[in-house]
Amino acid sequence: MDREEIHRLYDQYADTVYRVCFTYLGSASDSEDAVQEVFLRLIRKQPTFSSERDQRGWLIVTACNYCKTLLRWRKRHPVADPDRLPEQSCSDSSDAEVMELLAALPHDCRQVVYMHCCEGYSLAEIARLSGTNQSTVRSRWFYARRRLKNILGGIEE
Amino acid sequence: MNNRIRNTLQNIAPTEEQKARMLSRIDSEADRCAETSAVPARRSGTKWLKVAAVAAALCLTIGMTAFAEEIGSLFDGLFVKDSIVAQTVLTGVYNDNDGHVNMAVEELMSDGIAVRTVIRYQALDEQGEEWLDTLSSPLDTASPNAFYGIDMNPVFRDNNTAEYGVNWSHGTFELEDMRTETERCFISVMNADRYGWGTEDVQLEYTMPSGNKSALLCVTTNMEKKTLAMEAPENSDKLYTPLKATLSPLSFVIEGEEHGIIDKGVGYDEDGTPYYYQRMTTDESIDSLSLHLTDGTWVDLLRPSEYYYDTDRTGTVINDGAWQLCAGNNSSGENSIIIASTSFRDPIDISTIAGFKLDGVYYEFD
Repeated sequence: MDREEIHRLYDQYADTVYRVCFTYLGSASDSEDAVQEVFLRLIRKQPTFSSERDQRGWLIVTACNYCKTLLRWRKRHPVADPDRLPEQSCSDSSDAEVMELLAALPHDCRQVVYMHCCEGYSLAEIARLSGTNQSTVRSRWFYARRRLKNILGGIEE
Repeated sequence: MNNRIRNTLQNIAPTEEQKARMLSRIDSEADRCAETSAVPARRSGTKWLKVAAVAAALCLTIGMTAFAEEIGSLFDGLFVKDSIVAQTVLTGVYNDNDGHVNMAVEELMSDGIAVRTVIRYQALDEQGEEWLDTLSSPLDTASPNAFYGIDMNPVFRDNNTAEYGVNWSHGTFELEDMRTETERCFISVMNADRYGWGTEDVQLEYTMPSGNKSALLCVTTNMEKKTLAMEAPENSDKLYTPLKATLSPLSFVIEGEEHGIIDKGVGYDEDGTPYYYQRMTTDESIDSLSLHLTDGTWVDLLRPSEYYYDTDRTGTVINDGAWQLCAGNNSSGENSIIIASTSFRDPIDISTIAGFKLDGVYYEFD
């Protein structure tokens, strides 16, 4: 993968990958590191994709997996203050509320919510891209919807 | 709500300064990798793999060191060595050999809810050794053999998950200290949230040089259990009635009846594929659930144990939270409910458990 191709992909997907990472990590600096790691994996692996949609999906799933692993590792290896609050980035209280609700979801549910609500992947696509059973993804989606619905007081499909 | 989530997240974006900084670091790392032909640089010592948590999405993780400490005696029986469950561990469960690699499920133990296996791959020739190297961790999601190629799921009667709505989680991790050029060993675990989740088999999916394969593992078990028929207080304002509690060395489950908490049924995808759903129709929740030991101490079962990742701490009740208020099997009655279900990180000695307290009411095991 040459430099030009890397930059093209970066321009196309950096925002998306950063958004995914920030949703998990809640920190700008951590998200920067994560974005770097995800793109390096793309460079090292050089996987082939049947479509741009699959390529985008691969980057999202890889970002989710990296963040989940990082968070799990940190939970096992707390550094200074494991309860430190993440950096706040949402000045709007409504956005902050949504971020807070998303942050309260289990990691796997968060991935489904992000890919389904924000990126428009079907549950079947999410299952295929993440190597998970469809029934599992459905269960996560229903669980997430239930959690979000209970708190927000309504759901619109 | 979807729009609200989407709108919120779309506001998140790196600044131009951030983007330039990230790209610069990616460029220099890419250059460094190219120069050294480096393989992925970041490989943590602990490989937690696919965690296919379902529904309640409990993340199943097991302290690796606790197992790693047993490595020296692995081939004398990793699980067998644990005296609490030694009598119930099956050994030499399953074997596959394609001439290049030998794969063996060396041990299996289960209480009918949790299923734990020790899986060992052994390369038989040079081709097998090369292939063994391709089994990769969740960090390498693009690999065809990511997650070590291992998955484990319940086998439902009539292949019909819709009838049961069972929740389960699966995880696999590697005993890295056991790794040699010719051998790799894994612990693979599946935790369901109930007994009677289908047949008495789990489907183990694994990979070999010749491709992906699967096997049915019988998990019939004679593991000792304590059961208690429960009588809920008459003045309870809860929308569920606990009827039965079952404790084993690996899990604890309370079943009962629900009264208008759950809407469940079969829905259909856009392509007409049926799926099972269950929805909470109220804000009902469990107030508290704790397990009480004979020494007077107790453990909150609804919260992940603070010792869950402290692998030096063993011999106590350690769990990672619980599934709560899940629809029960249809075959158990239309209003059946799994009030709470949890699996323990390490097998426990059930003789040390005196009883439990649910929503402030204490129930004592006989």
